[in-house]
Amino acid sequence: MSLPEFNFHSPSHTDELFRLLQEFGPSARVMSGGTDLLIALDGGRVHYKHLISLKEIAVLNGLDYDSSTGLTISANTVLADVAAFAPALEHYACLVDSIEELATVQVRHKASVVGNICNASPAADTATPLMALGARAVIIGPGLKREISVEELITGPGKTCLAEYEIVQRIIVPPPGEHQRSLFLKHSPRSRVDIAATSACISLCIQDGVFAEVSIFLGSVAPRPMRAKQAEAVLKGKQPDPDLLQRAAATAGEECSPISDLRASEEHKRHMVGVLIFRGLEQLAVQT
Amino acid sequence: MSEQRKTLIGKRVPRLDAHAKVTGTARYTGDLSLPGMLYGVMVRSPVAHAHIKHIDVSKARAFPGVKCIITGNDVPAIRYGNWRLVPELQDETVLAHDCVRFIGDEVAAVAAIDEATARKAAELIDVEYEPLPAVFNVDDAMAEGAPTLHSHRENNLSLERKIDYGDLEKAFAEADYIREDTFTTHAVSHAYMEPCVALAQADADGRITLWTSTQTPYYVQCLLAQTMELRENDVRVIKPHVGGGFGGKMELRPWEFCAAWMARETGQPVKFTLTRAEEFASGRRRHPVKITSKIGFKKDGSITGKEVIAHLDGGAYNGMGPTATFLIGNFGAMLYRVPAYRYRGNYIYTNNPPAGAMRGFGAPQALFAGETQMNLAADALGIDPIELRLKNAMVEGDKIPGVATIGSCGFIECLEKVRELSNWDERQADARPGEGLGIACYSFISGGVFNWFNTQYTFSAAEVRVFDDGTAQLSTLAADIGQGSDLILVQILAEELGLEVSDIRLVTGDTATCPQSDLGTWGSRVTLMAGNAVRDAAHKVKEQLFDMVSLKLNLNVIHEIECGNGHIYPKSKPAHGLPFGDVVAMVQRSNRGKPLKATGYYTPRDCGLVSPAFSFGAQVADTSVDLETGMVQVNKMFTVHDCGTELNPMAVEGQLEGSIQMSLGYALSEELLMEEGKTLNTSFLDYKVPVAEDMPPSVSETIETYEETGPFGAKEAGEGLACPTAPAIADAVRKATGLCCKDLPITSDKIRSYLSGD
Amino acid sequence: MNTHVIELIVNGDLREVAVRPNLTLLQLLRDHLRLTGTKHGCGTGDCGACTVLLDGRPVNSCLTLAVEARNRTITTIEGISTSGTTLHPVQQAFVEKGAVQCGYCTPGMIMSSVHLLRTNPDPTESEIRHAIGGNICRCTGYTKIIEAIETAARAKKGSGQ
Repeated sequence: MSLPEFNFHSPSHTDELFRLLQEFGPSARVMSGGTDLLIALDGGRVHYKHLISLKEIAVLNGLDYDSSTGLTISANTVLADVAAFAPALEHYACLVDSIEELATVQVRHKASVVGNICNASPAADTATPLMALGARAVIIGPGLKREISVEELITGPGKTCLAEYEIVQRIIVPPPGEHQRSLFLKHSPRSRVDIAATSACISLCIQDGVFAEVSIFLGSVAPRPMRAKQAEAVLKGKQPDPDLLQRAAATAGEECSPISDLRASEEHKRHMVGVLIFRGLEQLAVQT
Repeated sequence: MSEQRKTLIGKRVPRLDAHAKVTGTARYTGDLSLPGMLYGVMVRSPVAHAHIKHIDVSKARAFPGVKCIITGNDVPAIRYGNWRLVPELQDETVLAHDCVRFIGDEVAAVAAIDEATARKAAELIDVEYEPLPAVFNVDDAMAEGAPTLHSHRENNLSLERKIDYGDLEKAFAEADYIREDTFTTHAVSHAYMEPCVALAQADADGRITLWTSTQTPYYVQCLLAQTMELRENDVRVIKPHVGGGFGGKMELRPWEFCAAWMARETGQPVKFTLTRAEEFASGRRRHPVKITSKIGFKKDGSITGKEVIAHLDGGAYNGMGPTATFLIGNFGAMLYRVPAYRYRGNYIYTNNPPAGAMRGFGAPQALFAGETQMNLAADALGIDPIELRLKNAMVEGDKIPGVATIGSCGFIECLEKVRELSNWDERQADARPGEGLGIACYSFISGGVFNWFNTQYTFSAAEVRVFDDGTAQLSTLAADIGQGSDLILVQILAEELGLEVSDIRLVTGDTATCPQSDLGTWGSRVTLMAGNAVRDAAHKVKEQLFDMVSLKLNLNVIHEIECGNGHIYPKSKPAHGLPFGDVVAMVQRSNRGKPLKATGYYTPRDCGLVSPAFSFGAQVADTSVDLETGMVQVNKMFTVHDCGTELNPMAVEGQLEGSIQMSLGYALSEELLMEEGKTLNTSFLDYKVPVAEDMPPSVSETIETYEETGPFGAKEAGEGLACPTAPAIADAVRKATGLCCKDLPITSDKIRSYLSGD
Repeated sequence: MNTHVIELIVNGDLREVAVRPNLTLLQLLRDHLRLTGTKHGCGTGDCGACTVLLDGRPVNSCLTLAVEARNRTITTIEGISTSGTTLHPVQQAFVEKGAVQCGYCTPGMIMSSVHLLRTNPDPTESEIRHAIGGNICRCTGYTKIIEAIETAARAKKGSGQ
């Protein structure tokens, strides 16, 4: 690797961070783990004159859970820490599953959850579970603080709604509902351990024998992780039966918009979305 | 000295270099640096086929920190290649002259004070290309009016290899059942973990020392001397530890030349380190081959005759292609008795990156076709595929006329054993959708006998020195690139001399200090050939030692003498021996101080066109297929093989296990994806080498035979096994799904499309 | 580029080095500190040959900037045994079980294994396979590597380490 030249800054307070971000504008990029960013810089896909590490800013550290707020994941929290966090294992299995299948042990110990989201890859493994679980992002900037859903945060491939001087301070995943069940599914066509050609996360709640709440998100089959609204509509208020699940799965396969690439053909991806969704729904229906 | 003579043959001795490798102290070429060292990068063609109109290096040369730039205009336009025996097959120059023929073809090289500077300067080199029409598959390359890559081969047919014996027309006329199938195989990467590195230094007198990641130091020495117009002895090649080769590091490479040339130009050492992306994008690869195979059987399953026509996509240059072209023909007729055979192998130039030797060297392609066809024929004939193989299996003494004679052969035993291990018969009776057992077999060479390099030396050599402290030194150019041959050779010598492995110092990997010569690591040749050279040297030393023992102990001439447990003694009176070192001292004294040493040699003679010895094996893949996703899951691999004597079972197992991994990738997940000559997947993220979680459990058994031509009865292990895995999995997938996959790799996309009737 | 003077502890030794921001930890270790046991296999974090422990965590040193190691503790393959002459139980098991062939993946593979056994002293076979999923080996098929890690786990348990 022969990285291009850049300056490196490691502020210890957010005030200094925002000053740097305002000063450098689009020539600067914040980083926590940097595992995606350095590859992109090396490959010449992005160009920045300034990298600003968040690692020394204490308020961007921490991983907490309480039953009223839910799970709080800070900007510097690495993937491996979430996967090893007992409350996460207990309450957010789909998120932990997505992390366990993401990249490698080494990357999981360096890369942050927030970074995985803010890089806004259509294949970002943690995006679909966070969206399906209704996670929200707390955004801070100079003198401002706002909160939006993770779903709104990602606007396109590599694009977020963050302004140049804003960062995601933390992600808050609400506590799971009483009957909520969720799971993460991934298909990699060429190996059991692989970057996803398609992934999906389903979170749902069956009450009084019908689908009360359903949220289905798909990865790698659209410019951004997408919500399978039509498939959700097929299920809502209905009793789970194999025909219904099959119809919802087929709908999901139709409503996504994958492209053919190195990892699989468009057709294969659509088919796989259907298979993943059917299997996921079946499994969740049995659980409940 | 009354205990029984210890033997090292068949012992699980750990590797000599394991300690250095687990502590990080083993030095690879990339770990070396020299004072004043410059860093080189290659400038490569971004286009698949073009005439070079002009190269402007002025901006790059003016860039601060740049010390040397060379293009094809600055160096001799000498054509080189491993096929020195047939000079017209040597079709490569180290840097492009006038024309580039593939994306990645080397056009220029830059050496600078650091890598970043060299890379920036490389981008400033302005090459004006005049694009030429290009061809990317064998059909287009052979079509009427196709653009020509090399002017001396107007139809892009670089060479044709033929094998003919028996009356094929009669054979097919007498057949009760004939089938013809066409198979295609794909390009895969060696993906050795150590990217190529070369470091060169020039002495004041112009002599070159090159440290390089190679499996053939002798070839590099000869071809570097040729291309630099030096005398062979002015080039010294040193092979440090090498991080795998698998056939991909057995030629002179342009960066080796550039490092040496630029070191001489600048007076400073120059080092080149390839990036992984360069390795994938422009590195050698396994030949994609289209094979049409026609085979005839009698009703009882006996083969009457076979015809194989192969077209290899060689890419832009020959490399080791002529050998692969012949070997596909050879392996098309191995394993079974084929009374009449016709082979036509065509090596076709295309504007793809050149292919080269890779583990199996033509056999994986030939046997994917041959073994898949055997399974299809078995079904059609209504004969169990193992029975069909037993009916036709080669046995010791069989001949491929004019090509090879089969020595030791445990093929039938392999088939019978794998049938038992895999519970084959019961599983056949209990077939379930989505599940299948598949079988395929292999035979492979133990070194090649054909002197295509046109070496003027013996094929292997080893010098043994013995010392009066009871130790010995073995010196050989045989190249351990990770397979463990250093240990095997030391084990062989220790066995011969009755010493411990730890008593032997090994000097290796240096063309200046090791005896001439050794052809290096390829074709599973080292154990047999270098092993025989070691034994020859040991026997010469032992003769002098035994004479001395006979004298000292006043032995009757009829006594046999042997070495064991650090002593030399009459075989019938092991307690009456003398310590090894004492005998060495006596011989030395009797020769008035001359050290006791001998050089041993080996060259295969009078053993056909292929190899002195052939290994055999059979493999069964127990496989499940997810009928909705098309994902293939290999549940278990069963392997039974005949490698002659297992000199070191731990080393043999390691070879088999590694082979299964590489072959699983070949069958299912690995593929260099190409578009108009461009390799699309140039990282391990998208080039899918199986990782630990991808590996199925595996059981292996050995059928021991004794190979007369091999050291202590040993022959090849672990390279031939690169062949059966893909056809065995293909067979299992066919049974599980009905899809007969004749084009590798077997992807979930192909299976799913088939199952959904697309 | 702003050069940074950083302090870090490498294999127990405090080091002060001046680094340019675009220097990777791998380059710092190999080219500046001459700790060449850590290998460069791909440069994109896919093969694991460059794995080192950063404050005890396995990371790809090719995807870590040297400046990120400021005031941190690095352990490389050269630093895992307690003395120069004895081997760490994982190293010992790799030697004895034949888990080494070309050896290029070995240092990274051992670092991942050491981390696994520190965090999970008694791993199952599937946990071992998962833990070395970021380390590609092209020679061994992983069988003997897995055996070696299992052996090391047993040896560590036996010795109470």
